[in-house]
Amino acid sequence: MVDGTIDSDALSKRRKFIKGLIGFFGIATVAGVTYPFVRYLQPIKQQEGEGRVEIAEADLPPGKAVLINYKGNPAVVINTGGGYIALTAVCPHLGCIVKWQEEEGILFCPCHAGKFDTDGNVLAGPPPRPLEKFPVRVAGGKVILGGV
Amino acid sequence: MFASKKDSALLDWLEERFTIKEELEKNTTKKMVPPHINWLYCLGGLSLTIFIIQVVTGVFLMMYYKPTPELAYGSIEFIVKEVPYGWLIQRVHSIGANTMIILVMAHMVRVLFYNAYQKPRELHWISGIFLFGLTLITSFTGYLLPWTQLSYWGATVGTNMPGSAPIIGEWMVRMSRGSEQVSGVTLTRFFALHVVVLPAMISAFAGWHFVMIRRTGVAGPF
Repeated sequence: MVDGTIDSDALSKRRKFIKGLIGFFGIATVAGVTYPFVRYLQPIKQQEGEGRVEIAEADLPPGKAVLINYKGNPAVVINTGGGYIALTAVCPHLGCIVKWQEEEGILFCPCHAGKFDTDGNVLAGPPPRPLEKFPVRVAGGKVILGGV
Repeated sequence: MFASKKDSALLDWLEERFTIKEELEKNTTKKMVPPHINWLYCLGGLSLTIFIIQVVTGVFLMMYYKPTPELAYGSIEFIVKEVPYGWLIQRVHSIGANTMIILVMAHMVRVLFYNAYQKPRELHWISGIFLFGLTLITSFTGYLLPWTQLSYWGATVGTNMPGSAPIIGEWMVRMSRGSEQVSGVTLTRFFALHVVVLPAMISAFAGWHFVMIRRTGVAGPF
């Protein structure tokens, strides 16, 4: 390869530079191709009125509850008869979805039998803390969570 | 990678157990190609490259696509308009399909004009004909999936064609559609073919194709 006219030191330097260049552009190409694919897979944020949810009062008679999606997480809205209460439906124990039990008037987690009252307080089972409560208001025949 | 003098400890460890280095060098890094090779010999390899791109982008599209008449168009619209870089992946997949057909046909024309299909390479040509047909069917089934007017009527016309065959024609039309007219049944049927059956068949025939060309070497010089 070295024909004597080129200083072999300079040649190895040049070779090193070319290798580095190929490496750099190689990595840049791989990164450039990978980036769109990674972004493609990232969860898409739903931007609908800052997480405002409306439920028609007619759809929520006393003693009943509905499961809704509030700011990307499941929440439960209960008509206790005395008013509406919104709580997160994600159990603080291991993240299962709690279910409203109309007969007993409690929220029940099917995974490890956690029980909560309508204020979210733990009545039984392993949950370490109460369910988070969300402010709820009624306007124009609608139960509204979030938004302004 | 670039003729490194000393392999890493990891590579040495692998080689002691796997003993593949020699085979690998013989078939890849140290494989000599004949001097009569020209750029037209790249067309087959380029077809394979596009096929790999189609598989990758196809898998990514499948993560958001919904193969039902009610949701198909909306899910494609969602991919293109909402999903980050969805437009890129959808476009690459769609343009890639057309490009692959062009490359496969150009590859066939090259082989034909070079007489490269002749003995002992008849099996290469036969497996290649299967690959060509499979490429066309894969494109055709994929074309229905966005469930647009173009797709719908394209599928209607396409599935009508075997109808002119005697005796079994009508049966073939009904079998390809899964119903009397193109419907939701056709969509799920084409979806299954497009994402599982046809790519698997292409992989199998391509494997055969590549083993053959390695056994005989490329044709020429002429």
